[in-house]
Amino acid sequence: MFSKSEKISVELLSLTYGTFVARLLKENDNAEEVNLQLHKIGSNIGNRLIDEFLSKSRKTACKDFREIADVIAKYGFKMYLGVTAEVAKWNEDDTQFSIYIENNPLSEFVMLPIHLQQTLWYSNLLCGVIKGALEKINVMVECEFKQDTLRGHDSTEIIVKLVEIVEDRYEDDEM
Amino acid sequence: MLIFTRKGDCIFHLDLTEKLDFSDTQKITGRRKLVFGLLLSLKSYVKMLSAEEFKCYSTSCYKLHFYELLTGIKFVLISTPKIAGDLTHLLKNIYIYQYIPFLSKNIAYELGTPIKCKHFRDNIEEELRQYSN
Amino acid sequence: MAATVSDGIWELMIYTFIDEIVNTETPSSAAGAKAEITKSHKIKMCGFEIGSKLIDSCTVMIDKSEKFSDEVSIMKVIATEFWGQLFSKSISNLQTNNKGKFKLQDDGCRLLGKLVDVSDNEEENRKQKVMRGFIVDFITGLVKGALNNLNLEANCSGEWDEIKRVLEISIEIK
Repeated sequence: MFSKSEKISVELLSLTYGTFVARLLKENDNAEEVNLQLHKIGSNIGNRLIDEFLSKSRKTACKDFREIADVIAKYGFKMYLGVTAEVAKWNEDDTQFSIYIENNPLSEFVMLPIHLQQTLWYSNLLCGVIKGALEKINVMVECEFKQDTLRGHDSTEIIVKLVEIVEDRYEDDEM
Repeated sequence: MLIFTRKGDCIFHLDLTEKLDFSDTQKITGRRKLVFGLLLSLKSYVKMLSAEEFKCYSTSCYKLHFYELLTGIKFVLISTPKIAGDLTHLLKNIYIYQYIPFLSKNIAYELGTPIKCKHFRDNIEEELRQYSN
Repeated sequence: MAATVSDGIWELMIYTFIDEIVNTETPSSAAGAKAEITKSHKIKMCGFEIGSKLIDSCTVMIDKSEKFSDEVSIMKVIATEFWGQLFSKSISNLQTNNKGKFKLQDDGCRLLGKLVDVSDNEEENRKQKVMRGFIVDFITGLVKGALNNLNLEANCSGEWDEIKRVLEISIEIK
């Protein structure tokens, strides 16, 4: 029943996203809180999206954090946003990197009103999705926006910081 | 057929032989723990022997198929040894066409909790019956 | 042709945002039933906005003079091009009484088909039923928005039959 791959236009995606963000802003005029809300919603999406992503991309386990970064930028962004992103700015011990998105489709047709330009991270959902998805494969990260062209910055940059990779642990039972 | 989470909780258990007594919870949990423990040991054992993941094995009285996802979900199918060939694709199909749409994407289902969804159970039963004859 | 992407994130976006809108309702003095109506209205409005913008991109693709001459042909556009944009398929069945009433039927609608009951607990299933109701609201909102943008004012209502797994939308043009 769900065998054929189902596609939608990027336009419909950004349209849907924009409408919902506008709705949340109507309910709550505190942009900081909306940022958190978007992050939370994103992480719920990520939790549930990861299974589908893995089944479609047929990736086997990544050997390190660098490979994970590549998969997110090359396959993840491509599959769900139709663009590839650039991974850069690794720190020395390979636990932090930046994702640069050249043409973020979510914000392509968006203009933020002035009073939101310094407070709202419009695409904050993406950070949540990345965090939520990685959480399910035992990789705990923190993820946040550093720059967004919607705010007048030169580029759109997301920082992903590794907190820890959890090893599977099994509790011995009373036997 | 059983489904385990990463932590080893059994969230789904379907028995088509109708020989198991589900009211005897102690025995059932014991059995589940045994299966899970067995999987873990086998997994680490196979890992030592080869680079391949272990998919199935059979004994004279049963055959066991195993399909594990990166998200830690484990599908286990225990059947008679008479079944020929590799049935991992069956578990894979269940994962892609049943688990993902009806559970993973179903917002009412909380991930990692016991699966009580009748729709899911019925579909799986149907799939499995096709092989059990 | 516009770029396409896998729809997984879109579906989940709809589910989670609607869930968020439904569950973070500020507790108001309005009684339960009334609050339910305002929620449903909000979700319809979201659908309405998306529908009315989306139909624009459908109209660009087709020859206007030919396709938008009367109500029936407009409805055909909704059932094929518009539905295709949303769900990568045409609607299963389109009926009309030729007096401004239309009935759209969609088998196993993708957004609704996944929301099966997940429990043997009545209370939890009731919640899921409410959720399906909101998704139906969202979809009728989409259709209404699209029609509105084509200068057709209409009453739209929808119903999802969980047993037959069919979505039925009734449209009455004013």
